[in-house]
Amino acid sequence: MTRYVVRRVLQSIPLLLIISFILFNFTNALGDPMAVYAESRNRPSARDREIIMRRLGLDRPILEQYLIWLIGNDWMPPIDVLGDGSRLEQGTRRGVLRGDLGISFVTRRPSWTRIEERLPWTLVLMIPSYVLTVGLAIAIGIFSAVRQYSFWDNVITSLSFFFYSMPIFFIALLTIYIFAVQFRRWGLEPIKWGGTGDGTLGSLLQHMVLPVFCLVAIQLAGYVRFIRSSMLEVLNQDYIRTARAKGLAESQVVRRHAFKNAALPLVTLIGLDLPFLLAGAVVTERIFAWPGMGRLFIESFERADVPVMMAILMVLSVAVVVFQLLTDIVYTWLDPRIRYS
Amino acid sequence: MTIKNRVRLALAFALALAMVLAGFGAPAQAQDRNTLVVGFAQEPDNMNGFYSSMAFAQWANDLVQASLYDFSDDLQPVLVLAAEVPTRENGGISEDFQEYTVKLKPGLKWSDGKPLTAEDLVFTYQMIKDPANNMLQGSSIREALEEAEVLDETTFRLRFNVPKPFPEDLIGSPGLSTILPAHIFRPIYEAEGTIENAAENQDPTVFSGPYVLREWRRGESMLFEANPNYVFGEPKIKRVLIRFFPDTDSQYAALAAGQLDFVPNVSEGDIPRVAASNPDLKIVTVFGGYIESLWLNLRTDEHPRAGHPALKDVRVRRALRLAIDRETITRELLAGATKPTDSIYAGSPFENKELGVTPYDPEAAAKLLDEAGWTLGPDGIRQKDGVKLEMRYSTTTAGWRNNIQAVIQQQLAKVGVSVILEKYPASEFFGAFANRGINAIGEYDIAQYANNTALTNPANVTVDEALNCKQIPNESNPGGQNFTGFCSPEMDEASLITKTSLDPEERLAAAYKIQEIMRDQVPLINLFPRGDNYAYNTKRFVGEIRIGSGVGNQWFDIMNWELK
Repeated sequence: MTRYVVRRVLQSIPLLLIISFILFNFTNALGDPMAVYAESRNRPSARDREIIMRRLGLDRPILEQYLIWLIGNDWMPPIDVLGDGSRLEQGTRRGVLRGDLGISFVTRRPSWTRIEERLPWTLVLMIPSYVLTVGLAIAIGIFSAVRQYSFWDNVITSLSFFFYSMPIFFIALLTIYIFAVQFRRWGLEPIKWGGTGDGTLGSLLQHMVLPVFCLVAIQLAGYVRFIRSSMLEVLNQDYIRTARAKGLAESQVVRRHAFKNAALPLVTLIGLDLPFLLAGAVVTERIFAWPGMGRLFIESFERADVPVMMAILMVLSVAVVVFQLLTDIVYTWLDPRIRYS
Repeated sequence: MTIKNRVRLALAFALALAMVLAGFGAPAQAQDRNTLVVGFAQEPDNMNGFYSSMAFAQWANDLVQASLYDFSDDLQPVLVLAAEVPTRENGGISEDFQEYTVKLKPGLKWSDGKPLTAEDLVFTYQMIKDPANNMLQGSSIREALEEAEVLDETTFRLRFNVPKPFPEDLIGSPGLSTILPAHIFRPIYEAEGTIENAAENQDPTVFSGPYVLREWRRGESMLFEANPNYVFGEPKIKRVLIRFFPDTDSQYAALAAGQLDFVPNVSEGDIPRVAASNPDLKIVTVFGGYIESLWLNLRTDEHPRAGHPALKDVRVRRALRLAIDRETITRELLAGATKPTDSIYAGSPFENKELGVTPYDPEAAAKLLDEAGWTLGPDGIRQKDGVKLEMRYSTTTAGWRNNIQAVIQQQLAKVGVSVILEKYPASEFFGAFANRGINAIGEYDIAQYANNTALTNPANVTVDEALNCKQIPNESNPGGQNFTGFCSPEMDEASLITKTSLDPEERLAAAYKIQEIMRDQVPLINLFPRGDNYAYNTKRFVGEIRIGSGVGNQWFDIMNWELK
């Protein structure tokens, strides 16, 4: 097992390098970080803009920029800031391999600092939504499978598809409109939203109600259908009939014999989804003014802030690799038939 | 317990939880008469005005930093820290316009109680001058400043290497972004040789403006508190809370719900629905110094992509202007918040109103196009020598711009001109020549975006940069800013006069000349001046509030605002 883990970790190194190279090319192709100055009221002079480009290394070929991103430029020849050799400046970047994710083009603060500020808020929003989604999905999915084609199965299925097919921005704005704008007009106490509240737990929980509801509403259906179908598959197996024939209570059959087996593919699904909790929810965070990672990514994208975009994407890539490995390890624990060597 | 019961229990629990949370209604962030709640669409990137070119950063800075003098809503100078606006008459500016002597009001203080003196001003100018600070702003000062010296506690002198006829560009709020507290920044500068990386830029601690920054919750809000040492006394409103709403729809919802008192960035196209969303809202439009225009690609092949050949003919360019019903666009799409203009000086004291505005006249347009040899083909599209009058019309992905695109496409179709609509993310559209930005390399025939105009003086940055013969970009001049390829030596000469002449009459005459050339030569079709649109909740304010123009400081009168 240890050998397996070590091998997987070693394998992931070239994988991450290839991913980072591809992502670096993509993020750089997304736009020009200098374009933000075009329509700005206080546009820096053309000369100042050239200086910025040279100092950020944006005038270099993309391969060289990638190299600087990876191993830094503090060992390279100094930067010719004015382009005529009259002002040289030693680079200070250490590169990702030496733990320097770069400085944000926009705020001039370390990319990692910006992630550190946003990551906790994303987790505060995403983990409860996810736990709620999976918890509800398990309950509803089992119920639907056990009571297949019953009235309530149909109601739940229709309702979950109704929310599933709604675009998130629509449902988000709709909830704001109903629970904040209209509630006030009707003389009811509106639900607070927009940001994370004033720092107290009560206020935070209240500000979470609408975004969590939206996230659960749109994600629930997928999980419910997944659990329902894998439960149905298992419920038709011979060993379930055997369990019933033994005279076990139906709840025992469903919980211990059916659900345990049906849960295996669910573990794969959760393993695939967990790393993306770190990514946050782009649209939800934007609409509810939630200071999370999804919003940070979009804001960085809009200003072509390559270092921050790359930092976020690399955090996610590493998370995906780690969670894949964890999922595989959890598998051996859940299913003794699986062995890695 | 059966599964059924358990599901019921789970559902009941979830429902109960939701109800408890919803009922948490303790209005913790209550709006009271001491807290003004402002909604910003973007988060400031830097709190040192010299390191940002972002409007929202400037606006946040203006809350905490006082300038020497501001401009009011009607573009009149308002003295803040300066005792008087220097002029030649009062001896503040030397005869040759190369030396400024500026007097501060006596007894000024920073928010931490330390005296604010000529020393701080001179330090600030020295910082602007030192290239090691890598400032984004202040280039006009950096390139021309020879020396800054303290004369006494409240007086300093600036010496420039060329005549500088416009004091507002050098010491007024449009030019001098921030005044740096020397007692904070000098030790940093002496230790590191630059203030570029000072933590103070992101998290400032000492202020000269009406408010001090108390807390910046990144991605969420900024809390400001009244500065008791402000030159005009402590503001009546004790706290200002700026909250960031990156999505305009949710920002408007918060405004409609009364969660926001003041929003500085309502886009023209949204005015009707914002106004209708809450009867207590008042919308104020202040001209902000932008003019939305259609820029025509007149370049030749070597620069590096030529525009449609028809655009080289001035008759075609005039015909396009005649064929676009700008009146309808401003009335229907922008709620009448603005009016069409032909002048690059629209809204400023230098606008030549006698030139008028070209009316909508599709017949005249058709006649001009016929004259130019572009005749109607069998498919309804004009053509000449086998070339169709079909052009690429591109802009950014901003929704209101795309609406205008669609209307103009219809209007041009009526006179037999076909346009293909294209839209790009701003970072691609405005990209640099080296990065193959759409504008820079000329991958368009008609491009729609805004240009800056001049408000306080006739030196017009658009004419000077974006229409100058020397600024046409190509391989050997990749930094060029003239993406139209228009070249008129006569206009460049007039532009130089607006910048350098010491005679106000001569400068005004040159500005008039520029407007005439642009009316006749049509390097671009001006659509309309864009306003800065503010919305505020009248139920929250005592009386009407005065909001400054976008060129100066929107908060110039905030110390007199009062909430109820």
